[in-house]
Amino acid sequence: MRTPDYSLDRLRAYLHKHLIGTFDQLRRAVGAPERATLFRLLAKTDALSRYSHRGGYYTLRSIARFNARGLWEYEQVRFSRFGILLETLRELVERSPRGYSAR
Amino acid sequence: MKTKHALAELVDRKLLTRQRHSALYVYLSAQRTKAREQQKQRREQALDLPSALLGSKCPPAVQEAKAALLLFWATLDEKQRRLYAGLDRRRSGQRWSREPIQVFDHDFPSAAQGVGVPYGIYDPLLNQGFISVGTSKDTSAFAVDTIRWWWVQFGRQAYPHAEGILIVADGGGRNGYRTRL
Repeated sequence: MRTPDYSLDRLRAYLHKHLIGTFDQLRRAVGAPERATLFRLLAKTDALSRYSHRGGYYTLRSIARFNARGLWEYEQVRFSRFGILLETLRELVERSPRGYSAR
Repeated sequence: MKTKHALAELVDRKLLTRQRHSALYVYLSAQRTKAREQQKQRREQALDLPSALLGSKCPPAVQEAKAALLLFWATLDEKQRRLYAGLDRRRSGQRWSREPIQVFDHDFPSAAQGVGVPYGIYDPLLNQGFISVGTSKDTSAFAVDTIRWWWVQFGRQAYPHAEGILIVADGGGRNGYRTRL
């Protein structure tokens, strides 16, 4: 049996069209590969996951338009230049002139 | 994961430090020198908040103009509710007595005629304080009424060209962000 070939181009094309996508949406767009396969494909791109809610949405780093704080929001889904929430908070605190409170 | 939990985790991992500053926990850099600088700047800002709002380098005329546009920096603080016209009534006014007047050591709600609910406004530019005492409940409507009263009685005379009011208040209770009026 021939091994199915899942194309990175289809993944990129989907994200360029829709800007963001959930894991399931990306899976369908690529041709319904296994979870691990899609993770491998995502790892080969410059994909970013949403920094909260366990990274439910993905986008490409080249698509995101980060603000001065390194954050980008699209349809209430937020992405960070620094990756996950912990790294984002750490970077924000490190770069802030006066630190931050949680309120 | 909530932001405060993530911050707590970063502190646990010693990737950030946490310090108490004016009743708030402030998260600072893990690097000692950087954290010290952040603390210093925060202290300076706290000392000079009115100037920060106006722009500390502005000449007085520009400051006045800015004040006309926007400025009212108020601190609204909730004070303790007091029972009134109940038991202290026996001591009201001035009178002479050869013996001390007996009073209860507690104010009992059942004997009181009502409560006094104070609401304070502080205008740091004029360095003037205002207080309004309500006689019913501690509601957001009362807070709004007090601010409106301040504006009608004093604010619009002090800032005749103002186009907006900046109110700095603590959150919760009648100043809570969930109330909609």
